[in-house]
Amino acid sequence: MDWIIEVNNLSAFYGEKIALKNINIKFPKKVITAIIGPSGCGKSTLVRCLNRINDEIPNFKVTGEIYFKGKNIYDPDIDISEFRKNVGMVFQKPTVFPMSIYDNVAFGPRIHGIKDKRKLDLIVEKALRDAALWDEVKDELKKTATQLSGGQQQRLCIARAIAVEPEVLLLDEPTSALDPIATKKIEFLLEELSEKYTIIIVTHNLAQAIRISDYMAFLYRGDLIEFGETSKIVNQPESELTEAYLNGQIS
Amino acid sequence: MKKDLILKTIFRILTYSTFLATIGIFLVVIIDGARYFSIDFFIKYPSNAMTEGGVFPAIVGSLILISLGIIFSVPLGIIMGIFLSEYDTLFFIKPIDVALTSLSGIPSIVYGLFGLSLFCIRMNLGTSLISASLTLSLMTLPVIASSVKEAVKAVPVELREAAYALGCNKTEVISKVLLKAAKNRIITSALIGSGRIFGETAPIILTGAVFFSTHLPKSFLDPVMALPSHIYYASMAYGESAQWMAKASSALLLIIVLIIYSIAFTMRRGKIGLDNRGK
Amino acid sequence: MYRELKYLLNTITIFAVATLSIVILTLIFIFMISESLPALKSVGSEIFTSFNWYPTYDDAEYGLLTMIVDSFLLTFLTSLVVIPLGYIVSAYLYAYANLREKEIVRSVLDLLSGVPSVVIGSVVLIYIAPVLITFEIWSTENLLLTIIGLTILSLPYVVSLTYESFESVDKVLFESALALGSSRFSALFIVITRAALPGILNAFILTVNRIMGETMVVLMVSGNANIIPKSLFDPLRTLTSAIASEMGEVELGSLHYSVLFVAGLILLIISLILTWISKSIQRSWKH
Repeated sequence: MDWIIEVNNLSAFYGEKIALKNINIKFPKKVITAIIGPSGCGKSTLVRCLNRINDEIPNFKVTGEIYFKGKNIYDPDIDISEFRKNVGMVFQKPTVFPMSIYDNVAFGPRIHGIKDKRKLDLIVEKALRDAALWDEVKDELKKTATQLSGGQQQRLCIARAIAVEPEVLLLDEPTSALDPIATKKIEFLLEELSEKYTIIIVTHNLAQAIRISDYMAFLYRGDLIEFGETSKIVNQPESELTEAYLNGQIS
Repeated sequence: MKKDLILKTIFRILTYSTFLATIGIFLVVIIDGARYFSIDFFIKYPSNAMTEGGVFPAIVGSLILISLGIIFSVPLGIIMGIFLSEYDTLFFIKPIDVALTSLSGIPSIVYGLFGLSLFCIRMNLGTSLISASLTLSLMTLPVIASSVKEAVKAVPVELREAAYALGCNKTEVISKVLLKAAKNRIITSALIGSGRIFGETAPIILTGAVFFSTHLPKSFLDPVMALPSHIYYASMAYGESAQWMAKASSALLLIIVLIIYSIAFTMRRGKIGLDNRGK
Repeated sequence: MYRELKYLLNTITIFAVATLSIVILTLIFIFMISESLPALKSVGSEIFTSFNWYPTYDDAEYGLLTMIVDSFLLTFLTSLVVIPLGYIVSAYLYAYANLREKEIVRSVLDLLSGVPSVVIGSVVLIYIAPVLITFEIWSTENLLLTIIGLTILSLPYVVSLTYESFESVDKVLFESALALGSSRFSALFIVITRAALPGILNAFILTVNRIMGETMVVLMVSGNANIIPKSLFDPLRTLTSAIASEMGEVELGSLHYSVLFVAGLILLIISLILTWISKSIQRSWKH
């Protein structure tokens, strides 16, 4: 099995407060890995470290390394923009930009230098098709994206993320703000996308993690308790904590 | 990223130089002006065409103006703010809100003209202390009202609900719960309002300030000397020999206003009182 | 019984005071118009079409047009400096500054917003104007100095308002743009600015309103000459400074007095229009 992201001795702090304690984990390529755990366990922090978006939070600090394809992403001379292009991210709430559907998807390619209209058209169409949104919006690409429904907005965010052709797609509780039908659509979509992309998803919804993930990481109070194939963890958890969480005794 | 690095540097230089220049200017005002501070400067009347003496009557005049201005505008402003916050479901809140926003945008010189024609002429109060302070309080009313509105709005809903649950009626909730919970921020609003009053010049030179007076106002109908108008007259009218007077008075006014604002903003940021939980 | 009476009285008081704002606005209108009427009637349209202002001559002329043009010109030029500068400073604070820088700059801004305009006028006059004398400029009270003074005055205001409208946008939009590999500047300039547009436009309009209505700085450093400046070193006179400088010397109830009220009426109407625009921007974005 190939790894794409390797986390080495990662600890994270919000000011004095520790959020992640010495995490070691290797994320396998082109599968879905779910990060689960009770709220406040550090799962969002972990995924937000993987593309360094947590740098945005004041007083946030990390120690340790994260290697993306062999390169430490916390290296000071890394080109952060080029790196983030390879690691897309979708957030909890849909974060469509206040512009048209087309411009939302074309945002990434444009800032990375693609100006040719025909090329952009192709990229936008492909990304929207891959995100299973094309049929719903193909006639109204000029419409303001905020007019879409919540589920459509979230799929648009996925389309926007894959339009820059990343290798990894990070999702931070992407369905927590959606209704069950929209959630189902996204889950189905993620399974399809995992053929092309490495997907790392944070979710508080255990059933969802079990349904879609191939691998699973269980975090508890900043510690990585268990990591392995989903079927194995669900059937034979090694740790009592994991078992308690799976049984719904911790939440 | 390279683009960010370049822009960050340019923006930082612009930001720093603008701020250092501005702070520098005001530091110069204070340091250069404070050289002329003396006991006489605070307790004497200006003399010899403003080239000697002090600003005693202007300081007292400004203090009286500010006190009268507050007496009128703070209670009214608080009530208006409460109305805007607590009765905001009523249909006629909109015209009142629009009126208040419009009032807060009207230039001070227009308030001066209005004060002149209403208080000085129509009400026959003349160019006087009372005309000037009424004009000033009209000007600050919308400022105080809108910041009180924000202050009261910031009080958590639970507090209101708890009070209603105990059987309070609306005005009791307002007077016994909201006003107390928002106390600090209301005081802040009043302070900011008075800081504004203290430095306003245009309206008072139309309605009540004189450039020279040999005595303190004996009644509300007397005109007064005030610090801001004194700065204006001293810097405009008397040339080189009165320049020290303008410098010292500017420094004094600046220091007073900065103190008022510092207190206000420290209170707003401070973690004292219930009102901070609203945020 | 007592309690109910008190409730009733309190409620009535609150409502009465609240309607006071409408009463004041109406009164201001009535008084400004009624004091302007004599001039509007006897001088007529010449007020708005003539550049000539000779109110104290025997054959008096009451043209406000020079001052109207100067008011707009000064507001336009100052806005041209202060709005981009304000945007850049806010952009720096939002996209690049660290926590400490943000806190320091914002506290200073809060304090500076309270500096009285008469102090700024005297600062420019006493400390900045003498610098110009060394360059052999004929009027040491001029357009350039007025722009500098107004910039010092309004910069804290435009920065706080613009920065606040950036902050009102959900931070996660900024992060989303960064996550796509965008530069911090593009994330701010393309995404956040667009999302905060109503707030930013509102900030600009309020700033313009403030510059238009400013009296003391202009009165003290503009040179108060009734001409339209051809260069940055020419003096000028705006509606506000004309009122402030001449009202003290006019005979109450004279035509001159009334024309100055017309100047005030113009300022009042401009400010109400700007307030109305600002309100409708906010409203149209809410829906």
